[in-house]
Amino acid sequence: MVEATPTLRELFEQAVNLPAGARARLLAECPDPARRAELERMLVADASDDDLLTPGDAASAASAIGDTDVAAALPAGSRIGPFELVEVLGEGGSSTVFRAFREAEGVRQEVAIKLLARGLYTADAQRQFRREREALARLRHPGIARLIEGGITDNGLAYIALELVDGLPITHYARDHQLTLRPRLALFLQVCHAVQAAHRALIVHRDLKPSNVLVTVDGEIKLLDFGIARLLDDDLTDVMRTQHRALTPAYAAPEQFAQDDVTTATDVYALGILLGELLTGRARAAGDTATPSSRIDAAALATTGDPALPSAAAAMRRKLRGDLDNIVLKATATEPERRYASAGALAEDIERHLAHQPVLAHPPSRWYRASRFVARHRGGVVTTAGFLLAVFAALGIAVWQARVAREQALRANTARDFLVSVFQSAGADLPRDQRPTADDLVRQASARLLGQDSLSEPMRADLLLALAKVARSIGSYDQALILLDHSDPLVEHLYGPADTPWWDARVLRAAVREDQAHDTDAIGLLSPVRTGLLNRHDRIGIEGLRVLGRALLHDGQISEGLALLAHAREIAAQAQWPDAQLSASIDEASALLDAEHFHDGLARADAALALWKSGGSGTNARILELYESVALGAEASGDMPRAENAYRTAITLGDRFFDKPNPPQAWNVGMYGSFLIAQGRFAEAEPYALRGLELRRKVFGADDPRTLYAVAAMGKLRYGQGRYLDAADWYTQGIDTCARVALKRLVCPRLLGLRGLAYGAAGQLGKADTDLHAALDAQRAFGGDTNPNYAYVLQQLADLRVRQHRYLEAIAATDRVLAIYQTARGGMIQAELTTRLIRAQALFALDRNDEALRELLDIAPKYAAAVPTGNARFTISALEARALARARRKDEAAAAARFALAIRPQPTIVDPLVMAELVQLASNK
Amino acid sequence: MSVASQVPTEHSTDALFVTVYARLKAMAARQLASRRSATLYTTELVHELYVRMGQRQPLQFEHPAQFFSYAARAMRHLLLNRARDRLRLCAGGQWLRITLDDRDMRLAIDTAEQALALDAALDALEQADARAAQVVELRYFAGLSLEQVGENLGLARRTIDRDWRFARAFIKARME
Repeated sequence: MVEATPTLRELFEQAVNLPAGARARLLAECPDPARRAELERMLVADASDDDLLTPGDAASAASAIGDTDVAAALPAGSRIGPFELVEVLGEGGSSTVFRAFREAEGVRQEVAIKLLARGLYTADAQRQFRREREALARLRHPGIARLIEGGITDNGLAYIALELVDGLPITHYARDHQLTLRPRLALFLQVCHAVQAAHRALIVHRDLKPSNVLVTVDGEIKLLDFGIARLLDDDLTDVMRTQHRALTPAYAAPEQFAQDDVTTATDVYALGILLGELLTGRARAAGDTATPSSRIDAAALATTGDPALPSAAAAMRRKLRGDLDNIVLKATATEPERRYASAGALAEDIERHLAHQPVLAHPPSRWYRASRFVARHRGGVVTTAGFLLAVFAALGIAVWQARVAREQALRANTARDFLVSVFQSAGADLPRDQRPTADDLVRQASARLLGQDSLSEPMRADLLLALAKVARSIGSYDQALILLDHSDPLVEHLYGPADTPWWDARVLRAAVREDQAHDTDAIGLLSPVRTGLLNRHDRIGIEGLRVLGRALLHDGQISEGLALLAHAREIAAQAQWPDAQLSASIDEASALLDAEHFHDGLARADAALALWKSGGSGTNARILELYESVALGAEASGDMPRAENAYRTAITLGDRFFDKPNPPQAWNVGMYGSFLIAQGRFAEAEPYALRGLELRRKVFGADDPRTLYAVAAMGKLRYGQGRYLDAADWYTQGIDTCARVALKRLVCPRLLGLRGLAYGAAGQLGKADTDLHAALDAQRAFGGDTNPNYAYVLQQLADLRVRQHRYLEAIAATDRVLAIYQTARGGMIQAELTTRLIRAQALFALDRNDEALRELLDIAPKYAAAVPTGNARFTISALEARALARARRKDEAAAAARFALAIRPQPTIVDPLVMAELVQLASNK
Repeated sequence: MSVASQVPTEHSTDALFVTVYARLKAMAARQLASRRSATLYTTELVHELYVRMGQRQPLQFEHPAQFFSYAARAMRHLLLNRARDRLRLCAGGQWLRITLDDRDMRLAIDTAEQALALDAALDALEQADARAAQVVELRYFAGLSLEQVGENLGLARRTIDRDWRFARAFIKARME
C-alpha cells in the first residue's frame, strides 16, 4: 500500500504541533531534501514574531518605501530631455522648477524646466499630457511666457520647458518703482489682455497670483504657467483631479475649493484679488471680503512700505471708494455668473473708469451683502466653534477630578495649545467658508495628537478620550476606535476600576460599538460591570446604563434593557440632571415603542417632550428622535392627526437642523412615507418614500435593516397602487439582501410575508403560499408565534386563504391573529380592522351573512376614523352593500353602494364584476 | 469570473466603498502618526487607491468579500508599484542626491526589496494554497482582522488562524 505524499501544509501543521524531539524525527523522515529544507525554514519563520515586512502593515510599508521624490533628486548637470539642469528655482506642491539650458547650433538657450513630482506611467495619462502640451504650445502672446517644449523621459518623468523670464512679481515691481494708481492700472490692463488672449484659446490659467505675473526690466508683463496647473494635475483622472487640484488658497475662487468646474470666470476671480492687492499694496487676507478702500488705514499704509500710494489714508480711501471697490467686488463675486464675463470685460470696465465713464459694476445691494455674509460664515464659524465646543465639552468630563488645581490648569492649557495647533494646521488662514469640516478637524487633530510625544501620559489619555468622544459625536466611529485603541493602554496603565477615567474609556468604547450595531461587543464590555454602573450615580454611570440598556434591547433582551433605561432615567432625575434625564427618557420611549408597548411609550415620550420644553434647550438630533417616537406612538394608538403632526414637525425641524443626510432625518422621512402609504395617500407618499430610501441608503448603507424597511415601504406603495408585481420586485430586492448578508432582523420575515401578499393579489397563489409559510417559520424562529409580528404575517396568510377560497382556514387564522392583537396593548388598530375585514370576506363567502354584516357594520366607522383615505374603505363599503342586499335591506344596500362608488379607489384594485354589481345595487331603488 | 461581470447591484458599492475608504484612511492615519514623511500625506495613499479603483468605474460588488478582496488587490499593486519605482530610481545611478536621510533611505530600499519578494512569495502561495493566499491579502493588504477575514470568507476563526499561520511561515521562508 502506497501512502499519499503529505502536502507541505499537512507536514507543516503536523510539525508545529509536535515537541522538539518528535519534530526533528519528522523532519529526518522527510525523503525530499528540498522539501525538508523548506519546512525547516518555515518552522524558523513561524517561531519569529516579525511582520511580513519590516515596517509593519502594508500602509506603513508603502509609506516607508515612500513616494519617489524625483525632482529633488536631480543634481545640477543632470539632463532632462535635451536640457541640462543648472539649479532649482523653486518648488511647489506638485512640481519643481529648474533653471536649465540647451545648446542648439552654437546658441545657448536658457529655459525654466518644470518637473512633475510624479511619473506618468499609464498610456492615458501620457496621452492627456501631450494633448495639453500641444494646446499650450500653440498659445503665443507677448504677455505670456512661451512653452518651448514638453515631454516625458524614459523614466516616466513629465517635464515642460518654458521661456525663462527675468522679472519681478507685479506687486513687487509696482512697489519698487513707486508706481502711482494710474500706471498700476495700466499694468493690470496688460495682464487682463494677456489672460483674455489665453481665454480665447480656451486655456484657463487656474493659478493666477503675483508670483505668476512678472514684469520684465522693460516694463512688459509676462504671465507664467498658463494652463500648467491643469497640466500638472498629476493624476489625470477626474477623481484625482478634484482631489489634487493645484490651487493657492489666497487667490483661488470658491468653485475651486468646492471642486466645481473651473472656467474662465475662475481666472477673473483671481484677477480681482490681484487688482485689490495692486491697488492697496496689501495682500488681502484670505477670507477678507472687505472692499479695497476699507482696507486702507493709516497704520496699514505705514507698514506696507509702499510709498507710492498716496500717503494720506483718507485720500487713498477716497480714490478707491466707488468704482474701483465695485470693480474688485464684481470680479470676486462668490457666484461665477455674477463676475465679469471675461478678463476683457474686466479690462473694459477699468478703462471706462480711467476715462471717467460709468462702470458696469454696481455696489451690491444690502440684501445681497447680507446673504453673502451669511453664506460665507455659516460653514466656517459653525464648524470651528462647534468643534471647539465639542472638544471642551468632552474635556470637561475628561479632565477628571485632578488631584490639584494646578494640574488641572496645566491640562486645560495643554488642551488649548493642542487645539490651537490643530487650527493652525487646519488652514486657519483659509477663508471661513472654505475651512475644513468637523470631520476633517477631528482627523487632523487625531493625526496630530497621535504624532505628539511630548505630552504626559495622563494628558495624552485625556485628550485621546476627548477626541474619541468628539469623533463619536460626529459619527466617525472608526476614528473613535483608533483613538480608543491608543488610549486604552494608557488608561489601563494609569488607572483601575476605582478611577473615573477607567470607566469613561470603557463606557465610551461600548457606546461606539453599540453605535456600530455590534451589540454583543457592547454587552460584553458593560454587562460584567453592571453593578458598578448602577452604583456610580454619576453621568458616566448613567451613560453606561443607557448604552448597555440599548444594546440589550437591540439584542432582543427587552425587559432587561428597559429596566436599565428606567434606572438610568431615575438616577438622572434624582441627581437633577435634566439633560441626562431627557436622554434616558428618550431612549426609554423609543425602546418601549420598539417593543410595542405603545401606550407606555407614548406616555414616556410625552413626559420627555414636557421636560424638553420646560428646559428651554434648543433643537437637537435627540429631540427629532423624540418627535419620531411621539409620531410612532400616536400612529400606533390610532391618533392619526397627532401622528402626522409629529412626523411633519420632526421632518421640518430636521431639514432646518441638518444640512447633510443624517440618521434621524433618514428615518423620519421614510417613516412619514410609510405613514402616508398606510393612510392610502399614495401620491403624497411617493416622494417621501423615495427620499427616505435614498437617504437611508446614503446614511445607513444598502444592507442596513432600516434601509430594508424603506425598501419594504416602496413595495407597500406599489401594492397600494395595485402594481402587485412591481411590489413583489421591491420585496424581492429586500429579501435578497437579507439572504446575502445573512441578516437576522424582523424586517426579513416581514418582507417575505409582504411578498406573499403581493403574489396573492397578483393571482400567483402558489408562490404566495410558499412565501407565507417561509415567513411564518422565520418569524416563529424569531420571536415565537404569539407576538404581533407573527400575527402580522399570519394575517397575510388569512388574506391568501380567502383568495384560495379556503374560507374556514381563513377564519381560523383571523381568530388567532385577532387574539394576539388583543394582547398587543393597542398599536395594531389598522391591522386589526383589516383582519376583521378579511374575516368578514370569508364569512360572506360562506354565506354566513349575518355574522359578516355585523362585523362590517362595526368596522366601517372605526376604519373611516383611523384611516379616512385607506383603500380598504372601498372594500368595506362594497362588501357591506352586497351583504345588505343579500339580507334584502335594499335601501341601505343602495346607500352603501353609492357610498362605495363615491370613494373611487385605485382603479386597478377593483374587480369589474364587483363594480358592476355596485352600480346595479346603487340604482336599485 | 471577473469581478466586473458580477450581477450588478444598484447601490451597495458606494456604501461599501465609503466604509473601506474610511478604513484605509484610518490605516494611513495610523501610519502617519508613527512616522511623519514629507512625501506621504494621510489621504494620499488612499487616493492613489481610490483612483485605481475609480478607473474601472462600472465595478459592482455583490458581496463585501469581493470588495475587500478588490481593495486588497489594489493595495498590493500599489505597494508593488511603489517598490518598483523606488528601486528603479535608485538603480538609475544618476540620483546622487536623495531626499530621505540615509537611514530612511536604507529602510525604503530594504522595504521595497522585501515588498517585491513578498509579492513573489504570495504568487507562489497562490499556487500552493489559494485560500491561505487570500487570507494574507485580506489580512495584510486590506487590513482586516483575522476575525473579519473569517466573517468575509464565511470560515471559522480557527480555520483562518491555521491558514494565516501556514501562509505567514510559507511567505517568510521564501523571503529569506
